[in-house]
Amino acid sequence: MLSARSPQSIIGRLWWITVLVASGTLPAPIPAGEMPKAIREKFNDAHDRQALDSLDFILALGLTADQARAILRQHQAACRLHTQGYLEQAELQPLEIEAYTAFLEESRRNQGFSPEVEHHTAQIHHRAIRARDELAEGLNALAVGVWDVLTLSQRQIAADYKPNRKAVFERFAGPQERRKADRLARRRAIRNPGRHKTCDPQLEKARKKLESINQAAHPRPDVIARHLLTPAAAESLHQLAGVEAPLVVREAVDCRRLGTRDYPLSRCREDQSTLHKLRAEINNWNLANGMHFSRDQIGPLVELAERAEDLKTAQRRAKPRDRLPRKVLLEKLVELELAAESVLRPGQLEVLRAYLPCLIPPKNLKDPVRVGQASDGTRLANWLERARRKPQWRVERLIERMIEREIAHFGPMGDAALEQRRLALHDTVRRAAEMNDVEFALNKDELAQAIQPENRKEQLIADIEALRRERRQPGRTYRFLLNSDFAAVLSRAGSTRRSRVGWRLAAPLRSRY
Amino acid sequence: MGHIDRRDFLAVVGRYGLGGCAACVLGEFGASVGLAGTGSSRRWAREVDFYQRLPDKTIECGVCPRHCVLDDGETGFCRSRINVGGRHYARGYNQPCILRVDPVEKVPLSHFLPGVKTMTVAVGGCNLRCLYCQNWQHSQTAPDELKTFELTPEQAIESARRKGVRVIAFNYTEPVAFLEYAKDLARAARKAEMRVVAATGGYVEPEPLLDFARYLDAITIGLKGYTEDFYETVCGVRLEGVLKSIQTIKRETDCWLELVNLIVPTYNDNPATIRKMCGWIRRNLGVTVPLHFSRFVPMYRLTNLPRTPITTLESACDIARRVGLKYVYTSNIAPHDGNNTYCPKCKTSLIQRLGFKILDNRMPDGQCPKCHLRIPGVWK
Repeated sequence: MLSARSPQSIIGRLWWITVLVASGTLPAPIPAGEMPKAIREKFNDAHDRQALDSLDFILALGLTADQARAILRQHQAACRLHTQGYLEQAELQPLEIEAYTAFLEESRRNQGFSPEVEHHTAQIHHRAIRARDELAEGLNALAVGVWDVLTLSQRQIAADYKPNRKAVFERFAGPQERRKADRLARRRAIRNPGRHKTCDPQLEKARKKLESINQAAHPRPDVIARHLLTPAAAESLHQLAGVEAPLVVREAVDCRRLGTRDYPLSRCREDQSTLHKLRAEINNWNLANGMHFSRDQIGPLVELAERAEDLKTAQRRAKPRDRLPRKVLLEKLVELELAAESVLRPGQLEVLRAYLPCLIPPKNLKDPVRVGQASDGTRLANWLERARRKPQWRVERLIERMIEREIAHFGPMGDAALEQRRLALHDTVRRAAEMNDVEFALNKDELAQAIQPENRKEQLIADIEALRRERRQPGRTYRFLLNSDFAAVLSRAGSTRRSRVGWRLAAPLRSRY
Repeated sequence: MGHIDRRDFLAVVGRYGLGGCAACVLGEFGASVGLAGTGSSRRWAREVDFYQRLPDKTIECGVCPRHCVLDDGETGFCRSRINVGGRHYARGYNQPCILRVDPVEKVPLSHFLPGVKTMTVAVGGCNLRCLYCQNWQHSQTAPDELKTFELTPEQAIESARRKGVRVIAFNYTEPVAFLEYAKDLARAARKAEMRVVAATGGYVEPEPLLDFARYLDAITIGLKGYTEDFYETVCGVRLEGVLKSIQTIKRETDCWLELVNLIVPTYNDNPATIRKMCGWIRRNLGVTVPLHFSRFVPMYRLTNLPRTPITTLESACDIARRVGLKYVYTSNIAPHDGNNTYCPKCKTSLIQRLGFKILDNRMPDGQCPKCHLRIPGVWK
């Protein structure tokens, strides 16, 4: 039985809206008669959650109806991009799953990758990355037009904006919705207890720098693109503008909520989760294969990983009053991490120090230079070899292309740094050109080393690691080795090694030769 | 101008044509062996030291146990020696195709000046036909078909000195195939008080080997397997010649010796054969000769096989240790315990390596810091 004040009853809704309007809580731009659909229906849908974020963003900006109308053109274009993006995802995700599954099989065997499988995986992976990057770039380009519509103060608010779904609930939702939202939030917090961030300013600063470098390599939609140029903002935006959503927008919203007939959203989510698991497992295998653990290392490491996992599970399951204080928990995890590091050899620690999660392992892990192998030298040495023989105008072009690639990989450079880099490259190419072939052959590695771009990412990772050590927080060893997924991979690697699977595999192959 | 008939015209054209062709061919050929002119062009060929003249401008090469018998104009099996008018010439003299600065660990040498940089020189050609050769682009090609540097021994020494390198290495291709150049360069290096090391397949006659080893400080010999069948099938030579070379080096020279055994799955990974091989090493060379077990990577003509499983390498190391060999290493896998040097007495870690990189060297003087056992090798 619904009470008169229940937000689910019509009278209740009207009552709440009257109260909110009278108290001035409800902002003027949002028509008072409508409660956002996302709140009215359910909150555990990703689209609804994003719709709430978008609404919160619109409210925070205090967007006017005129501004909303001015934005609609960009919004429509963005909706078209989102629909295209979904269709592309529908095409790519099954291909990715197929390629990564084959790649995972080879990773598990630890006999190196066949060129076909490796090439195909890299191709699909890059295609998926390119699709994501293109969507983000397209949205960011549209966002430029939206920034122009905003006033200076709105721009400032947008730049500093942090999503606050709770604020939307406080404005609109009734007690029942709030209770449901609180319940969901609690569940999420229980599921991910370690997610809350440390308030260490130094660590945060280093993390933000790292984030900006990653962002330069693979752009992500900016705040406007995330909250306004999304199908999730369609309802609030069109309501505010007082116009009906056109077909293209409705299609995008449907695509976002349900997917397409051939590729429903449920399957898309399932595929995403499969891909996530595949990538995580491949990454674990890359590390396990690259570290060459001996039989006597696998046992202790698996045990330590299980202990760390037990500790985390116990913490998650315990009632709040029985939980260990965060500091104590971290201390215990650090102890386990140090124990794991004592099991590793110096060479393995060195590999771990430089390791970055990856799909296709880097050359030093996958196929290190072998004894007696006349390697071709590094990428930069080969570049120098080419550049030193070219005329000046071609050298200029090569240098510009090189700088573009570096910016794409390592993040943007300031004008002074750019000029310095250009000079350094010019100088090195000139020195290489002045050398005779013999001198160059003997000095090319050193010359290449001299123009090695500064790997700020590596430096920042090392800084973050050092800060964590200093503050007694678990670091990379804990992150990469002490989890149940890695323990499973390690156990499997151990059993594979005992069974000498490689030998059995080789026997039929030889007969084919 | 007189009138000539068709027959005379063809005869004149034919004569001039043939003459032109002959000039071109001789010029090319002469240039390729460095005989077309005198003076500077002669620098690219040198008469071989070990061969026998036979009747009718035929010669018999005496460098490796294959003993190629070559008619005039024929090239040997190694692609790097040629019979020109009854005289045996080494092609590719002063023409290295590879010139690099590498760590000595890449030879591989684990008991020779750890971490020292070497100037590695290689000339095209090889007297072996290993199916898994990882430098086949250079070793299975004639020296004059490769892109080369022009480098006399004196120039090489000068370059090394300028670069601050004190060790010359012959690696990547077979030094036996360019023995004349290697020997002259090694002699020049000795004169300049530099060290010389070499990596070889060891398929060479004792006399040329000893002649070359006079100038060597260390040598790594690839004992690629321990059955005649393996050597004949995979390397195209006989095991006997290699074993003889290893014994010659150990018994008749002061040169530091290390052995490499590349384990190819299904070909030479039989534990019983590995045990036999280790037994032979123990009996003939002693227990202190370092033995490297290398991981095979699909290459050249053996791309159908997988990489050597790490368990196989570890088992081989176990077998070698059980037989009594004291210094057993694994290569082509890093990081791995088998990359490091341990004291055989107290098991202290002496040199920690990550591939070719020295992470930690606790015995710069060649002595275990804990039990003071002298570790054999060249440390200073």
